[in-house]
Amino acid sequence: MSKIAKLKKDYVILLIIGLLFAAFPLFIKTTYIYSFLIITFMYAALTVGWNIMGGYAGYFSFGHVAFVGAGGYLSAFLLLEYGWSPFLTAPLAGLLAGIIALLVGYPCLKLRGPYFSVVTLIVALAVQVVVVNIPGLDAPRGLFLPSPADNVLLSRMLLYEGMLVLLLISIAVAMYIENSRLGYGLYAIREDEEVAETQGVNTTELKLIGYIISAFLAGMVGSVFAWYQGFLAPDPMFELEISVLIVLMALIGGTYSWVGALGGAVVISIVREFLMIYVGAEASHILFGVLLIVAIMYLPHGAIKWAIDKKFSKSPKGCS
Amino acid sequence: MTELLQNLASGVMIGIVYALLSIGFSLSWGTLGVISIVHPAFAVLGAYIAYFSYHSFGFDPIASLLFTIPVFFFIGVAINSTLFNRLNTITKHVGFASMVVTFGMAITLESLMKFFFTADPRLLRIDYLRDLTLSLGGVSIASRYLVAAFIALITLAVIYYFLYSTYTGKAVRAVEQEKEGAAFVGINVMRVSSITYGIALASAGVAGLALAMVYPFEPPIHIPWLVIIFLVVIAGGVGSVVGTILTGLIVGLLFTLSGMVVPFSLVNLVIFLALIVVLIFRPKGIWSV
Amino acid sequence: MLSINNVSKQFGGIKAVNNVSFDLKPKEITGLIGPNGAGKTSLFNLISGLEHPDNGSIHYDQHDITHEKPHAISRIGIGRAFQIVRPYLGLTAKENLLAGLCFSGGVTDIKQATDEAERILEFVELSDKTNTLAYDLTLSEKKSLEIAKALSTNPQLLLLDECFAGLNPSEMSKKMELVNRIQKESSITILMIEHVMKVIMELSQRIVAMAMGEIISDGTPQEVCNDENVIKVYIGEGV
Repeated sequence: MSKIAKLKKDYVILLIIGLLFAAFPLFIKTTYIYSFLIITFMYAALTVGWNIMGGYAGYFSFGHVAFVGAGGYLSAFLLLEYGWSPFLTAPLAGLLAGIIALLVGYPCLKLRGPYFSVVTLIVALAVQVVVVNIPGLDAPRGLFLPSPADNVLLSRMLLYEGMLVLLLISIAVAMYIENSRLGYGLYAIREDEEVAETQGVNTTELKLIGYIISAFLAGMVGSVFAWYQGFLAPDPMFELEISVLIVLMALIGGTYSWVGALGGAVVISIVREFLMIYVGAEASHILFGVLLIVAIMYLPHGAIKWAIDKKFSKSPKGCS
Repeated sequence: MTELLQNLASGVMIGIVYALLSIGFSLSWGTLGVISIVHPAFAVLGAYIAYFSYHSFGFDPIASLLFTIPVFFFIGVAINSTLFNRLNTITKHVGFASMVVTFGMAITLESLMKFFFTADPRLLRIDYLRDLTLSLGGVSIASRYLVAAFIALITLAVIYYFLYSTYTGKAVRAVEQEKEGAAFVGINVMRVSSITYGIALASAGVAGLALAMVYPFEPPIHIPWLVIIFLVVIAGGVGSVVGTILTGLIVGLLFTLSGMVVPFSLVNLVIFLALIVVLIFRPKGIWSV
Repeated sequence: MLSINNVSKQFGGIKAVNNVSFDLKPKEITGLIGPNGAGKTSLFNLISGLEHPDNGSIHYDQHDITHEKPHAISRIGIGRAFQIVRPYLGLTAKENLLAGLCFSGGVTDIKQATDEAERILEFVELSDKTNTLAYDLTLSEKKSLEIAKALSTNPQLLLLDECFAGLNPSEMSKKMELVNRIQKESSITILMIEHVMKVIMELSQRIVAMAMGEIISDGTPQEVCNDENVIKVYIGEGV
């Protein structure tokens, strides 16, 4: 079957699975489940998007949350100021994130390896400072956003559908890139950037494109996330932990494909949830730090060792 | 004019403390290849130890260093021989992996500190220093700044002496420059790494004490401190002792002088922009040729 | 074709390339020889854009490529195989060719690119390794892949850097036959750095010899071999 036909088939399968998940509100009426799914889908979408730069191009951003926060605040502002629904303004949030990526990406993408990671971390903190200090936004005091619907359950269901759509979009984009000219250019960059240049790959351009796409997806997620938060405070919206969690999820799940990214996000989300339930919020935080350490150290085979050692190298369509 | 001199003076002093805060981070990145995100969190812990030893137990906080330094050194050795050593065997991308691992440690440490010490801001106010100020040509400097800078300076001098005049110190520098080569000439890289990380954490503890005297602190402050460390280390050149010290001074001055020009909440932004500018034009550090 | 004019490049205190000039004739195989450190690979780096000359200019088919970026030079039609093989280790042999094809090779469709990749692999006799990870290939296979990668960029000028080092005699004659085939079937101009004399003598129509960053001889293989400057540099004075 030709690659185009296969892609179309994959899209159809994705759509069907998506519709199945979308039908949940018909049967499931527990608010808690939707909260869990919203956050899980959020991390899944973010990790899949992050992986476009991290897994495909080998550029590990430790500041992905910047795009989430910036997009979130833009949507919040538009909601408060004009009453526009964050579902509709999500593309604008994505656009803002994309612009930030363009501005920031140009200097940052010249750096390699840990330097790039460190700088993206700093840039995320810088974006937070900028957003918090925007005159007229009054971010530090906290912004109260009106709920999507009158009762909590319905609100959660709507946000759930929104996040589901964003996750499906992120996966669809990743699927497309994985088997495209852009994708193979990014893999070449990951494997040997200098050689890629001598093969006609305009590495600067491709990296920027990948970074902007990745940011755009995260920005959109930000707008739904903000609405879910309800009350926007700068620290939770720009939490460093979100950035690091994304990296962890991708590493654990496997950076070779969106499948790994999705898997890692789901697994870690479930683990976090268990910790929260059985140990309580504070202790779970402590334990989670420990878990982070243990996870990196003791996954002997499988995704992490593969991903890091072979330079995130599992062939995209599954190697022989 | 006086204000300028005032800020210059305090900038230099806080700069020395920043240099001490960053030197351990620079050494661990340079010698072990580990980006130790938990470094400032240990400084915060050192700050708490100094604070409680004085305010709760009445010990001279400087005496608390007798506890902090060896204990932190030991913890550093332990962490390196277990965690980082293992990291080296399972991956060659120690940089990324160490960022995630040490971030985990930082979360755990921050949460523990929040739990035991609460999130209330603390400031180490030493009675016998409280009203002492030094007046120099119209500029008055609070003695706590002087003492903090003095402590930092002594510690930096000790570290410098260690690195340049002792055999082990030279071994540390050798490993930093050429790990395999160092192993070839018989240097026990593992032992050197552990010593390096032990020194790194110990110096963080001392830096914590110095910072506790100067600014209020609470558990989450390790993140803003991390930013300062990044700036000093990257702009100063990873692994370079002299670079770290000089850049620490510059950052300290940047901090206090920019506070004269922009509102406080934006001072951090100035620091960020400075770092980004340095990275664009001089990714190997401002002192590199 | 390729025209190098008074090109110089200095690294610190060392003049890696010192006032080098020569023109390549199209469709010829030209050998580039010289002892280690003569500046041959540096010259390649200058041509392919990984470095830029301090003085002088390089022209390719009327384009001034002296200060162009590597990806632009690749797209104009200069392909390169590296001395120490640099395959995309995490990708299969077939996937290794896709980037070159899509970006320099002028192929827009992935399906088309895949077909073309398979054709190239067949040409370099690596068909049985199409879906093997480059990481798992032998050195000889990696060297074939290196040439295949260069071919995937649809070059008119191919820069081969020591492709014959480390091969056993049978691998060597296979590869020589491959190089000949490349020249004959695709009319590609080839500039090859080589230390293996047998290969250079048999394959090249012309040889340029370098030492200490300068050209010391330029002519037919016979001429250059008998040039006393060349002999001096390889074997020493007093011969």
